[in-house]
Amino acid sequence: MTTANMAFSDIASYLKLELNQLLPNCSDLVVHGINSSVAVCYVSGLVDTKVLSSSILSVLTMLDEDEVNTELIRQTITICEIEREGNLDQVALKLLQGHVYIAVLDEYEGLLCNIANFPTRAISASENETVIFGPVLGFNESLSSNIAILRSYIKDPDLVTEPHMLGTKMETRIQLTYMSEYVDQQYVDYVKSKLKQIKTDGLLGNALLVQKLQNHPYTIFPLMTLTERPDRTVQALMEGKVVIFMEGDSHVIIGPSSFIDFFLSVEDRYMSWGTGLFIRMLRFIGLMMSVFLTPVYVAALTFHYQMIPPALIVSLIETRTKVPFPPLIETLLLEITMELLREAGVRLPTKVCQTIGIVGGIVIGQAAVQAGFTSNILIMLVALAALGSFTTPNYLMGTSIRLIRYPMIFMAGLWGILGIVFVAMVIFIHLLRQTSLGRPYLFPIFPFRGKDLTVDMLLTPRAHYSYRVTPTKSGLKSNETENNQQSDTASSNSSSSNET
Amino acid sequence: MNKLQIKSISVVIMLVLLSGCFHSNVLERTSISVAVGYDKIGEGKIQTSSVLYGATSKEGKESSQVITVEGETSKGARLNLNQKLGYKVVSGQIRFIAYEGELARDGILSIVDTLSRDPSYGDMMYLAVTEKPIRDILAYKYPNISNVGNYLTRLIAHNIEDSWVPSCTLHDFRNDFYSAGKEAVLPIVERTNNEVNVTALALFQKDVMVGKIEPEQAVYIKLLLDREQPESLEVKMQKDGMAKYVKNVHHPFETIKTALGNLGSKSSIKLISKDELQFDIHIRMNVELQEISEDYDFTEKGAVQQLETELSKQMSIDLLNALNQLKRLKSDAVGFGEVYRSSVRNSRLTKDRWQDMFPKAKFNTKVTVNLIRTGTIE
Amino acid sequence: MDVRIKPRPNKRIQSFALLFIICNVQIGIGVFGFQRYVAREAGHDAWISVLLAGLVCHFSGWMILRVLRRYESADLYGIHQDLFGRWIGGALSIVLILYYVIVTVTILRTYIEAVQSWIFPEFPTWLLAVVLLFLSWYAGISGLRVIAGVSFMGFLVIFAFSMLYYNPIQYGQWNRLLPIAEASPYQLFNGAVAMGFTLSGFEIVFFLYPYLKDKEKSQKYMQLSMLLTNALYLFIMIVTTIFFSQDQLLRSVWSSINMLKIVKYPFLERIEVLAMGVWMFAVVPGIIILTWVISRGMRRLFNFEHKKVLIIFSIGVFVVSLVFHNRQQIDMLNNLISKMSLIISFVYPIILNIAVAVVWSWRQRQANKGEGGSQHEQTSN
Repeated sequence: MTTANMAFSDIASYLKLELNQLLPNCSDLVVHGINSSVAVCYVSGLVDTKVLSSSILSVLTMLDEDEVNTELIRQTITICEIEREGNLDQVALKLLQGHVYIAVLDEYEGLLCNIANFPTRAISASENETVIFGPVLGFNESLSSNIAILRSYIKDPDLVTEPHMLGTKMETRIQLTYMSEYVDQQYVDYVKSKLKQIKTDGLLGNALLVQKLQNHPYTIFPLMTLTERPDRTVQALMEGKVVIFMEGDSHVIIGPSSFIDFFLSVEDRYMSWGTGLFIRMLRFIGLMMSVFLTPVYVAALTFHYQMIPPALIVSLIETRTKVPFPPLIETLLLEITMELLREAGVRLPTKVCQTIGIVGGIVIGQAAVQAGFTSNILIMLVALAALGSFTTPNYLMGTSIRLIRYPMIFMAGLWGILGIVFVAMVIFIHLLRQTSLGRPYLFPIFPFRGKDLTVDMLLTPRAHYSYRVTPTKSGLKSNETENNQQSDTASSNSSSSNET
Repeated sequence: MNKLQIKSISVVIMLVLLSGCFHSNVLERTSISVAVGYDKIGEGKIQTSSVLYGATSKEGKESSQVITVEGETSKGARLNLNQKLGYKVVSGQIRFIAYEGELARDGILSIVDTLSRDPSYGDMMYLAVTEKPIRDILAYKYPNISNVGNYLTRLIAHNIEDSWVPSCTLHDFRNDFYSAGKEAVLPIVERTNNEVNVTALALFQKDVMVGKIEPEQAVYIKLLLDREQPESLEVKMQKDGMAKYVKNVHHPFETIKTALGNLGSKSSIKLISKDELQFDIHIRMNVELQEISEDYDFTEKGAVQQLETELSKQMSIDLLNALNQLKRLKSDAVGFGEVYRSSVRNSRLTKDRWQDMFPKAKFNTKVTVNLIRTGTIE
Repeated sequence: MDVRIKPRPNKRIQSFALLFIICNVQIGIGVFGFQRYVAREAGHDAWISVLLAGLVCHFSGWMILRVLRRYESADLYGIHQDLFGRWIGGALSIVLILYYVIVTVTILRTYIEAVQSWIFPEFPTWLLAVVLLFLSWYAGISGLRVIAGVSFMGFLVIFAFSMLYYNPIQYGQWNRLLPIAEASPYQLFNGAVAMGFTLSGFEIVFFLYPYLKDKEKSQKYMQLSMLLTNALYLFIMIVTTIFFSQDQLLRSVWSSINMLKIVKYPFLERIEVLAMGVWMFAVVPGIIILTWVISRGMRRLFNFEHKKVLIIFSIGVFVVSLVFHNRQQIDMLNNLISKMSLIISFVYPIILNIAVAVVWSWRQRQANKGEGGSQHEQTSN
């Protein structure tokens, strides 16, 4: 810089010229000359202006113009994260990450101070995953505050947070988090190898990252849990799972997840054993109803009239005689209406939502029956099926459950009970083929692990005092004995290195 | 998912779609039959009456429709039935089938076998016999019964559960027909004016009706069959030793009538001599007294015991009479043959052999009545 | 072809999986109507025959594992080559493969026949065959673990449905079992022979053995599995005997389904329709496992690729199953298979045991005599 900036009387105009070449069209770049030999530049909006004025600008103006040098500045200003940087290309990148650059005339290296303050929202209650009681806190979009929340739960050196960068353009910061003592190293290795393979400009959220991490891009089931609840995340970490945080997303990824996990809510464990179990079972009944109720209706009315008991058949005939469509069309019509109502409710502002409820309830319900479009019984069944799918604590899984109903209804209309069983088998085999971070998706059911299944399904009181099911690692322990022995040693190594 | 997989999956989906919708039985586009009756009209001709669910009913009441056709076989009649109806007749909901007595006396196996051959018929439908043409029962316009088919089903079902009618499902009939040592029984259904009721039991030899037995005796058969039990039974006996416990005699009486509630009974049939074909029949009953025709003084010592003894005595006589009636008609409705077969090794019992042997059987009957309580008063 | 195979660790399954794989292959469709074949021979003592056949089955399973233990990690294809040489052994393996192809066709065709006679008389045979083969292909391409998973589901379905037989018990007349052991030993033996085809299928452990992770537990789980199967068959045989009268039983083609006709609930009647459909869960695993065995054979003998074999095999089975039009032909097929399965499941293990003993002791002697025969010496270590 010594020779180059000779032409300019002050450092500020030199910097302005240089940076404008590196960051053209960057209107929010500020280059502020304190005096002729010191200049400060930053991107407005990305830095904490309070810190800037109180800790940097006020100090810099106090310094004598002729005696100033970087070492002096470094010693006087009260910012903790300061580094020297002479390469303007690097400087330009850092400016975009919220650093302030202090340049001094006649010196090659300037100072980069990190006082980044990205726009973010305050920590608030989790909105999409609500519980009646238990902590309501939810993550927000700031990675550092999310990690801070996590650390406030787990104050242990075992908590590993590995930073990674994703994307060539957006440079998304993610943090791979796990408890080094509990985690099965093969999951960590799996995630790392997958992260290396990802080639992208950048990812907008964790939901997109999940898709990149799974083996089967076409599956309709979520293969990893997304949550914004810290308590759920902490529980997962304690169970030896891997958690991925992403800058700019309030949802974190928990993996490996199994099919059953999506129907469990942390709340179940906050309640007493009996009530928690009851609610959990209720959800599984809801799942069954949601998937099978309307297809069975279609199958029974189209082919298997003999399965209907006499008390029911009379009322069925009565309601059905007015309906002009075959059961298949009737059911599809009503199911799609139901989905439309739900979708409309999501898209509209909260206040209008209530109107949708009335429209749905009165217009569709009453009028459709009176107009002879559908039968009363079907309306009830469709409503029950919809209710069943809404009890699923995970939104993505709830949507998948609703989706698999359609092929089932369709096949029930074509082949009756055989159609239902056929689709059920295809889905079952499909689920068996899926893996989540290399662990089978249907984990405690198949491969069968009685202990895990009882803890997951029956919430045996053991679950209240110990987080982990199997002493160190749940999961594929016995599947690959050789691999596991390696990972055993690997994880113990990593944990010991962490302690030292 | 590689290309091969996508190809195969799409091939299968195409096949599925091409296969399209095959023969369906959409509920409201079928004529659902709930009860069928077979009448004999002339030689080899069968008249079939079918009770169908009313296809178009505006009110909330269950309505019905009765259609009668003629045919040489029951299936042939069904073909003719289809010609009379807007929708195809389906038989999966039939729960009641009746045969006219005439037909039953000729044998009903061919019709019964037809029912079992077709998987759409259920095994739990009730079979019954009528003395008069069934058409009169099914086609009659009852003021209080909206669907006579369902009504008849309920009538038989509740009589099996609570009263003296033994189980008479299609399965039971075939079961008895094909078993070496037991004959089938079916209830006889009659209409009197606006009511339908079960009047007696029809006794069979193989698939041929040979006679009937009255309710008073049929109740003992039901007790011996030991699956469902009659809820109550009436016993009429001579006053004999009980006279001294009866107070306030205003009118001369010869017999005492009692109504007993059955609180549980156990019966045992033992073959005691295979050469003389002698059976020991013992029924143990716990009963409560529901009604007694005279003012009987239970407070007096020995009164209850006396009543128990008299009841036991009278009932064992009644039981023997019922069994003798069976013997006379050569119809082993209780299944003594089964007892014989299961107690005698290598008996090689066949239905025909047992029919010859059964009239020679001797019965020692014994009934032990245990009067648990006399209702809420004494 | 190597005699011993060492599958990669992630391709192996636990011995525990044998519990439901074997159950599934054994039960499958045989359970629909085995009763009348046994009762035809042994009358009301059929249950004793079932018990006898079950005991023989346990013995046979023990024999099979005895052979397999000696080879440590070989399947039957490898054992054939080792015992009988490349050509005779190969021929035997081909015969086995053909046998399994026919068994697969039988299972497929019998289930289709059952569906057609009970729910959908006009359901096209080809369509149902496509459906079943599609399912088995879909599971088959994903490897042994998924196959084990599907069997697990089938296992659950089988035992859930056996609960339904509680209702027929209430209609049963227990004195139909009396007098016990009226049938002569010869009749009982014939009855046990009639159980042969129904019980066969456990010999697939010949092919699964190298893929087991904890081989020392294989005996335990295999015997346990056969115990469950036998208990189920015994239970159903006894229920059938007390439920049907003798002649009625002999006339029922599908006795097990017939018994379900009396089950009814306030919200559902005629369970047999449901059972018939859901039984697909129990039939498909059998087809999948046999397909896998055949495909293994093709790979071991001719080095064909697994996925291609699956497609070709599926098409082949599809075509063959269309050849059978009516129940007489299906019965004929069943009779043919039942004789073959008796030999393969029950007699062949004994022959193999003898062959192994003879060949190995002969090799021992050869090795003792001279320094030659080193090749075999190595393999036997």
